[in-house]
Amino acid sequence: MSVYEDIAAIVGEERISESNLDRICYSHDLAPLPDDLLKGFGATKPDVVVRPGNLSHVADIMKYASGKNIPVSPRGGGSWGLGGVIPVGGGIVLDLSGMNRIIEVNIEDEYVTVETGVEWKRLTNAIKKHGFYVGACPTSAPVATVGGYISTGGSSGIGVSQHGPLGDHIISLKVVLADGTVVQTNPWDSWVFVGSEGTLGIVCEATIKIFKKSKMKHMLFGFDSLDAGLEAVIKLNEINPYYFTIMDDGFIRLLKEKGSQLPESKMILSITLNDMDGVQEEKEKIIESVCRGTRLSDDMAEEEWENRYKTALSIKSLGPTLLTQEIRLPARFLGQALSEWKTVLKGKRFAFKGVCSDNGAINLFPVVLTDERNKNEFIKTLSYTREIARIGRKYNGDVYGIGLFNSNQMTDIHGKSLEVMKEIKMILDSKNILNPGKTVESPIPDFFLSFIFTLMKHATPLFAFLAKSVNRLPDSFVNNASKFLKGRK
Amino acid sequence: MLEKYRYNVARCARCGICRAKYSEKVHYVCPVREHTGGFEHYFSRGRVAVAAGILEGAIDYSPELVDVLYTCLGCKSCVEQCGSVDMRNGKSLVDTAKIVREMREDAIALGLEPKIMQELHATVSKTKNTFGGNLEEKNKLAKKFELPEKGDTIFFSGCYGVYRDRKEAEATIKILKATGAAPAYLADKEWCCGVMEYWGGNTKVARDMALHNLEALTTAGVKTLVTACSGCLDTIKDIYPEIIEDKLPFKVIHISEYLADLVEKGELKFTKEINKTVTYHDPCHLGRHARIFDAPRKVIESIPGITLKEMERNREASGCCGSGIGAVRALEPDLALAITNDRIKEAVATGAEVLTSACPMCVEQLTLAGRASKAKLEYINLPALVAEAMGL
Repeated sequence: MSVYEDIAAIVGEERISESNLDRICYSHDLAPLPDDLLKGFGATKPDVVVRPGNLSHVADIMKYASGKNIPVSPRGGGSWGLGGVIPVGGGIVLDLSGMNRIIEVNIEDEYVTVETGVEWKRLTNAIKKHGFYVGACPTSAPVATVGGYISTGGSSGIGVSQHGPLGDHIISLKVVLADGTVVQTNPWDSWVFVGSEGTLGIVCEATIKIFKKSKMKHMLFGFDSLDAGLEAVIKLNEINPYYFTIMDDGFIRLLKEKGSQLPESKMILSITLNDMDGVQEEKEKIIESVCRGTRLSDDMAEEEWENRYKTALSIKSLGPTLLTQEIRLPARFLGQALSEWKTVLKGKRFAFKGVCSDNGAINLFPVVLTDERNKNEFIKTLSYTREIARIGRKYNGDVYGIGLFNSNQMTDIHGKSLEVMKEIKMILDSKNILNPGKTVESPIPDFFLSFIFTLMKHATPLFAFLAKSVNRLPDSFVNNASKFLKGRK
Repeated sequence: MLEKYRYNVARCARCGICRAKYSEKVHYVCPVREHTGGFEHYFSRGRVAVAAGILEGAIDYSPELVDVLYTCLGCKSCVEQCGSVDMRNGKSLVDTAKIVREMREDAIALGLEPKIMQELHATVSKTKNTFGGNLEEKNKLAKKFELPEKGDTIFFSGCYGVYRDRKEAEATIKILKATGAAPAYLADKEWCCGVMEYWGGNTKVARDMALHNLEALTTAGVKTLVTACSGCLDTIKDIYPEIIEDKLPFKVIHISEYLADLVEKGELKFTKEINKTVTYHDPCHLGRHARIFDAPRKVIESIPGITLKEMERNREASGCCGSGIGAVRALEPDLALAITNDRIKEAVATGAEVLTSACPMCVEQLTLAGRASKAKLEYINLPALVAEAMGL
């Protein structure tokens, strides 16, 4: 029997597809990589796409896949930009967004248990009516799933700077391991799976702490100088507001091009407080004193908050392609890193947006606008993402996630601990079938990738030609070539 | 041609916001995604990815793809959510309904049109109406109400008003007459507006209909065109200018706009109280397509005795009735019915006794499904409801 038939027997025919349309739809995420280039990164189309309906479906599929050594790439909302859900080596894509039940909302003990395919916005809506909210929630909440945010780290987003990263609020996870075993974690060993990008297990259920709602207050500040803005950011991190975002002058300009009413400034800080009475007024006063810029109207601040899920995307249409990295770095190094980034990106259309993170860090999105339809220009721009990450590392920062596109910097990112990571991976997934090519290994070896990036930057047309040729090769050839290259190393 | 939409296809950020809902009770945006396996190509993001695949040459038109294309309702629910907006006007840059339409058009050019659609379009081409009826029926309607062929205000009955829901057309004419509008009617010179042909991808037939109707309308001296069909309204108002690449030389209004205007001026006189709770279903073509949300509500609320109760999904967030301009209903009846049943459940949940809408196609679809599931609702088209309250 074929893989299709075997899995259809587990989940039912309506939950599996081997249509070419689906295989193409599920071979990328938000990242704007043209199909031409995907294969060069070792990505191929999945053989089948499955939408399991519950945990036992997932467990049975994993039992089957590990028996047959078939790669399995789990997927949530598909709203990450680093290619974490792009299948490497074909196999099965598990679209978990159909597992979206809210199993229990416990108001007395203040927790919620959900299937991980549920979107954050839906979860927050469900607990809002009981007067609760979650302590960490991604800025892509309408589409990002609970499982996706857990797997991608959960430390950048709304609430994180006040309540800490999502991993701190996880009470328990139900995880399907590579061989189909189901384990239930406690708060400490949950951390193994947080940020593991689906390479160690498939998180199917999560029990998460929730918080009693208090009062929200939105503030917006415009700064005439970048230094004043940066100073405020450092001080803000000591006050721990619920949420804040940073926009640099480039980002403001882009928004204005799109018709935004924000005033011209060198930096705009949007801050949201969520505290009990008394505490909040106190915090508001402190913030007023540390933000030595112009306080903009409350209406504008509210609008910024209302648009919190949309602003980043709305500028995309100016590109139309938006290339970004997500760099997490300590706020105090922001200024130095910014100026180096600006030097590197000179001549390009770029902008910076930052979102608060935990422990005094900022998650910064250097955004470069380009046009994926102009292949050469696009490839050249793409080669800068590696440079951007390198500068981030110089200032005690690093890429926020690895996925497929940062897998080329694996050794730089992990350093010595890469060996430890590999050990963990060996213990949990010795056959390397769970989301291969991400987090602990690159589909293509480092030395080869360095060569590719050099080509991209200095011999763009040659690279474009090669990429196109690779794209014409059958998937199986790409998979084997990638295995061969790795074997040699 | 999909090629025309290359710019828009590239504007899709693949963020997936088009599948998530902000509402607390209804969690989906795309009714088709909800009632199919939920795979990507059954909702906006995937459909646009397929379009990109076609433009890049990675996907070819195939019967399988055509089947998928004809599951799109064209309801624009996803377009309403889209984050890739032009902030100057708040409009989405990725109009999936249009992109899917273009793909249908290209598929038809390759001879891949589904048989049912082929037959429908052949009928329209031959008989000039959707139901293959005799245009003589329109003459009879004109005769019954002694409607002239020429005039400033022209009533556009559409196919439904004559061949399916005669009550709707008659109520509209009575209202127009009673309020002193002295409507004219093209009678057998009025052809199908072309809504199903345009959205079904058969641009040629749609164009034939449009050019004929515009010619007939201008000859009749139209200044204002009034219709009770949301499909006719949006097609004539928004699609005809696109077809002729020019502005229309006359005004197009829906009967609900006409009535709302009278309500505002205090000129609409009712003679009868209707002591019922009513819920209103926004037709996609009147609502999200033509952006008319307030007028029908204003009219309903002005009727003495009536309490209007909103459904969970309403106005911009309203759910499609499932008909999908007839295409989805014809090709995927079970899917259409499942979508309609959701809407019926929402209507029942309001506790309303009457379900009304401003589109004959929606009313028909809702009535069929509602009666089949024995929902305790009365179904009535907006003009008929108003006419009843006016004692006409």
